[in-house]
Amino acid sequence: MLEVKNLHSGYGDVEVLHDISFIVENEIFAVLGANGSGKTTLLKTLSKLLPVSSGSIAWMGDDVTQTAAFDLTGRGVAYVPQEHNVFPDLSVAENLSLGALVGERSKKERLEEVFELFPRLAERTGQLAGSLSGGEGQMLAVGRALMQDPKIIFLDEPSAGLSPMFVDILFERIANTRTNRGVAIVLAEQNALKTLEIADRVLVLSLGEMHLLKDAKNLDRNELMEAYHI
Amino acid sequence: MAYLIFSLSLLLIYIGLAQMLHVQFGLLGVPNFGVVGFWGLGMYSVGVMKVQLDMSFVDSMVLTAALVAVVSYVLGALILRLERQAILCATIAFSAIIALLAVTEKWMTMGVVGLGTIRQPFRIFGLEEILFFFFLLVLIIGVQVYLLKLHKSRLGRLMVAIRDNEELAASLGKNTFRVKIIAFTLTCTIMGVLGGLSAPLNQFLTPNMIVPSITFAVWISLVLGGKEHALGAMLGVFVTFGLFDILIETYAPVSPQFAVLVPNIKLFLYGALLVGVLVYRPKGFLGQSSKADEVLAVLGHGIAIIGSELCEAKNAISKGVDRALNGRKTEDDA
Repeated sequence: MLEVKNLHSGYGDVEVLHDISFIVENEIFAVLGANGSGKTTLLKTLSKLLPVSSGSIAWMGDDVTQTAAFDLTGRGVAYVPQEHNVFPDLSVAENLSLGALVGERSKKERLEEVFELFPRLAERTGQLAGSLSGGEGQMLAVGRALMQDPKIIFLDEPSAGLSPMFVDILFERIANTRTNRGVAIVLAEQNALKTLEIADRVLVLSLGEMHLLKDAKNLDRNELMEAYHI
Repeated sequence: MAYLIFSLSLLLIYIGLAQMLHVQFGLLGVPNFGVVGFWGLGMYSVGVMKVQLDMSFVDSMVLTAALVAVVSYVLGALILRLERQAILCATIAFSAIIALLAVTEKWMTMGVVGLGTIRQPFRIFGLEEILFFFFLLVLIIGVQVYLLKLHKSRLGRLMVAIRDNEELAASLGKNTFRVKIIAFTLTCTIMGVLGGLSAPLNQFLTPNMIVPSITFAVWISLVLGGKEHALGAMLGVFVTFGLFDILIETYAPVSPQFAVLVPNIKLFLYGALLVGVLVYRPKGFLGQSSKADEVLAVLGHGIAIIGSELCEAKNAISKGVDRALNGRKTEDDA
């Protein structure tokens, strides 16, 4: 589905990612690493919100290295940033309906699915997104991404700043999305232990480089700690 | 009467400019500090075409709209990818260039000597001024109706999304730059058209009409009324230009010895009002308040506490009175 080859990227002259290569199939693909390891940069680059310095990105067989972010969305790619991931001045319903700007299915059908996954959003349709709690905001951000009828979602640290209860709920829903809707998920996370519960494969980044890439069930705790420089 | 119609026509022009600024800044987050530049370009363009080229009003308006559209599209293409501060500076610079060209390009604009006379278009039975006023009124009401619909439309929500977080909006599958440049070009063109309509209203054009104070007056109106509200622009212009410039400055019964103070007092009141609104209603009269609500909430809570204390005090007093009366009765009975 998604094939990344020898990817280099960063901010202006500062290169953050060095020679990253991996393939994501229909799975939960976790990207782990300490602060500053390049997780967010990787997801932003894959979403085409940051330019590729060199290397290539192929999606469903097409080279999308030079494709604009808005064009990628129409091809079934959704992105949920870590912060500022909702439109605070719009209501929950308006945020969700913005997700339906792309896709073929009716908005009503998609809304029903999102409300089934996150019933709390259905209770707050008229509420401004800026007044939601952190957990509800994350649910809305994931819900809006699902409204795009994606084939793959790039999720950037969805557990950041959430209470353990919300993290459990959110990860359960992420796993459900993968199982029930067949949506591939690239999940960048700090919460390694929780992520390993639902991930199929794991890419560990260290200072912008690939530290290791292997099946989640085969990942050794020491290998992980080494990548985190613990 | 003629002066009142002139003032009200000018008020409508200001409302139109503020409505366009509302779309640019209130909905889309593009800070255009060159309002007077687009307005002045349109005004001088119609003036030159009418006076120097002897064109009809309709032809000059159509060509003016096309000219301003091209200029604003090119400017937008150059600046709309920049940071907001840069857009702000670039649009100020644009308006300064237009003001300067009106002075220096004498072969076209007659420079400081001035350009005129530009007659009003609807010359029927000497009613041209009032007919022109009603033409402007219909135009502004039409724009207002469209703005109210725009706020509830998908395009309106997309504009707010771009204002709130352009990067996130781009990940929703829409070309945000295209939305911005189309909206910027259209609204600047309408600002130019409003300038073109101001030419026959003023009849004689001089470069000192293109002054930054017009931009600031439109901005203040929008901020006071509520930059994000569909009716904010209209309310803001009524409160500033309508109340201060027309009602107070022109029609307030002030004795001649104090009349000279009125413009200064107006500026003082403008400033005080702006500071008050920014502190207590940062989103304008029609926007959501923050501090005002907090103050009201605290006051309400205080009144509720005092009320409950008073009720308790009243109950305690009545119990005491009852006890005293009953006690006296018992003593009397005994």
